[in-house]
Amino acid sequence: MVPPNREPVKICRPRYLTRPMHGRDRLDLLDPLELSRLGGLELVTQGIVEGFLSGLHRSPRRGFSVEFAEHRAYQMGDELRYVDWKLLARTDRLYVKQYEEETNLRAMLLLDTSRSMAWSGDEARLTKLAYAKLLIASLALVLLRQRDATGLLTFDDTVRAVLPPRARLSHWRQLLATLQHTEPGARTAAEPALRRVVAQLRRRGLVVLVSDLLLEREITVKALRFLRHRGHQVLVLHLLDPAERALAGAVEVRYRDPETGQTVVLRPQDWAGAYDRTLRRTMDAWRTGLRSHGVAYEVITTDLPFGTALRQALVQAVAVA
Amino acid sequence: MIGFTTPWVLAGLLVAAVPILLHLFARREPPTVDFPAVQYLADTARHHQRRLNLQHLLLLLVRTLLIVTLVLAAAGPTRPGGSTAGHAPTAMVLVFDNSLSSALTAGGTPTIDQLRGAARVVLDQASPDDALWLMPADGLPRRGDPAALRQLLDSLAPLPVRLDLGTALSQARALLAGDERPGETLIVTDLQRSALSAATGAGPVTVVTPLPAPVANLGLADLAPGSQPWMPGRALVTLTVTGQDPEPRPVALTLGQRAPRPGLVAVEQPVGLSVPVSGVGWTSLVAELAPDELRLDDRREVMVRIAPPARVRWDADDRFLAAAAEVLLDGGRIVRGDAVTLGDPSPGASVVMPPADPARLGALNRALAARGVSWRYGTSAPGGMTDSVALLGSQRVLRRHLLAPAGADSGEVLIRLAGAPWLVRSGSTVLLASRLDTTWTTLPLSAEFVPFVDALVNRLAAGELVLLDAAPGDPVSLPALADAVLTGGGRAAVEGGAVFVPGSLGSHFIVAGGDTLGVINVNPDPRESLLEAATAGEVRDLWPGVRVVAVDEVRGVAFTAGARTDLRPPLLWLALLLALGEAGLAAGRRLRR
Repeated sequence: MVPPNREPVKICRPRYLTRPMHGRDRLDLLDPLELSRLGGLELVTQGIVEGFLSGLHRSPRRGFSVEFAEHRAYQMGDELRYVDWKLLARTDRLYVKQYEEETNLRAMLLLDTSRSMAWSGDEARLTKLAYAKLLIASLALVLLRQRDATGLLTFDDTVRAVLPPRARLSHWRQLLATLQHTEPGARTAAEPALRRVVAQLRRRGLVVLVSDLLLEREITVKALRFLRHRGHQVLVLHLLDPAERALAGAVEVRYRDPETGQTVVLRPQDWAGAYDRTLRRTMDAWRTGLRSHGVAYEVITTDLPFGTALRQALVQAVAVA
Repeated sequence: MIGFTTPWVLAGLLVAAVPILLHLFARREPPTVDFPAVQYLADTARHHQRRLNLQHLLLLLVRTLLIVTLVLAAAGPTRPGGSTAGHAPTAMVLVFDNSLSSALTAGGTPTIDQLRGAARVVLDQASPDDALWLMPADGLPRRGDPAALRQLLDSLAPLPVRLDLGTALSQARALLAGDERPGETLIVTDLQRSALSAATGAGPVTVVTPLPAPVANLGLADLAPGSQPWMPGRALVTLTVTGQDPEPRPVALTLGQRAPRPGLVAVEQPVGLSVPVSGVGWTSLVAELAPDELRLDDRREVMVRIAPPARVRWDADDRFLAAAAEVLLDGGRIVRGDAVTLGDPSPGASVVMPPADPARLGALNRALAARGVSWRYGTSAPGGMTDSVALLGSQRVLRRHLLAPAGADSGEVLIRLAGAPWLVRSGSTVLLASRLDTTWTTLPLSAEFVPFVDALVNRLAAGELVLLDAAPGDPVSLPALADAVLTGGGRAAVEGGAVFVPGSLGSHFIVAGGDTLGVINVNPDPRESLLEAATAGEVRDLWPGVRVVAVDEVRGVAFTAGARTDLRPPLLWLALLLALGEAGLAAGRRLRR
């Protein structure tokens, strides 16, 4: 076996994507909305991943899924860099190291497409759903490049689309197509989607749930705990719009839940502090409830550059792995 | 009651209603925005709604109160009382007690000077917008501006009169009731307990009293010369003194131009002094105490009438009457003569009795008519008991004839029996309804018989004198025949039966044409000699709500009815506190956000 191919998929890239990546030019660190305007989902995602991976090169220890498998006798044509020189010194025979692709990692990316996800608190920001699409596309590309079988499941109160995990890089385009055709749905219920995942992931794998978590916490945690019992690694990315993180405004407003139609009338500046405390309490509840069952939890706001978001997501993924 | 210097500013209170009205009625429908995390807001609201509502309510209340307080302060609120500086127009009656007792000189300072000083302070505080009356002890209120009343005040001296404080206060209140301005009465007085009485009406009263200086005073309360007229010889005069000094004090009694007769008198112990009497006519009798701190009550004067004994003619056959006349003759009370006839009508003065023989009754009535007497004898009537009068005690009457008036001017009834006239007088003729005989009445058997006959001949038939005692200012009823009163200053024409009010000390002769009917002896009211002051509690019991202050505390107590306390400072302090409270509440809200 040869070491995994780290070459990117051969795609005709615009000039700005082919420029040398310096820290300040990395696309993954651009403002998400600005970045999304640079091109389609595919190009933008590649740009994000390129930038992200170039950042990883400076931190090689962050790599994963490539492991030493066995030695075999050297054959003509083998690259010398894979010769195990220490073994040659001990045995006086030429052996090359063989690396084993971690083919047992099957990742399933779950995207919440409920109506609440199609919301942005500011026109100058991506909606949570648009942000989630780019994030999932980037994550999928990273995983597929590592030959990890990656699938996609979109859901609102029911499962909307399912793309079984595949390790082929071409599978990414199917995944992109699915994402592009994903429209905001109705209300949210994660339990059916999570049960469906169990059916999709026969072996142990990685489950990444991207959602604004405006759903029943008890039921969702219970379903995620079930996944953990099945041996899956689970990562929950709690997506929040900055406007949901902090209330602002001086005039009284009637707030309406786009999913349930529930309304609350209040003056934001009067309630900002109390709301912040409630939100922190909610996030703490999610974090505590999930981590107590070995589920990773990370909060990502939609103004966060994708590179940062990806790094946070992958760090959590490594942590749960 | 709260008042405002610029009440139109109170219209600004409507502004205070704006926050409330906005809160209640102007709540517009807020704009609706989509917000996925409404469930977090709902959770937050569930936990904090009550506290936030309370905060909102408190803030609304504080802000409304702040506006109200500022508007009220801008309107210049004032309340009654407090400092007299810049008092509102006030109606005030200043009762200045320059009665006799104010002539007291204690500690070298006359009481009236202390009172005058206090009154002057009050007048100095008056403004041209005030309505002012000055009421001295004569009880006549004088209205004037502060300057004029100050001038009047300076001219006032102690009057030999008594001022009844309750009457003065009632008068003052009645006066103030006619003025629209807030009224008050300020009484500057030595506050004699004897001058205190209940008052009518309502209104604030302040009593200003002199600094206490206990003085043991004695004053002549009475000088009683006994029955008049006196006859040459000796007469007994009774003297009574009043006051607080327990020590006996020398007194001098002077009749006319004769040498004073000394004596000693003590409080509440009437003393009889005998004085030699000679000559005839009106003469003065003066009693004078040794001087003390209050001089005006140390002298008392009355006029006495000295007359010769009546010249009387009587019928020796009328044994009871003749016996009495003999006794009087022996005592020098009468002499034989024709001036007064006892028994039958005569050209001079006469005491007429019904005849023993009823057949002569007609002739007697005709004789009476011929002499112009306005009474006639009628039929016989049952007897009874006479009314007890000063002239005579109650006597049993066995027989009598009715006395009937014969004309509009019937003269006067002196004694009645069962409501009917028993002893009457018409001019110089006195008529008895019964004969002075034991078959007609038991009077001849009583000890009062001889004095009664003495009175008949010396007083009633000879023309009784009118002797009246009064104090300055006291109303006196004049006899029906009076047409003038001779005072020290001249002759005052009066109507018979009218009321006369003497204004000065001394003797005032009552005259009818050229005849002197009697005299009004005007002397100080003995109650003015009682200098003991009433306590503040006693005053308050009589006049609820009264303030009693000393003369050195008078500044600041006058014009309190119109004086207003500026309420702006406390309101502004309250506004400041409310503003701080509002800032604190608002800051607390900001911090909690």
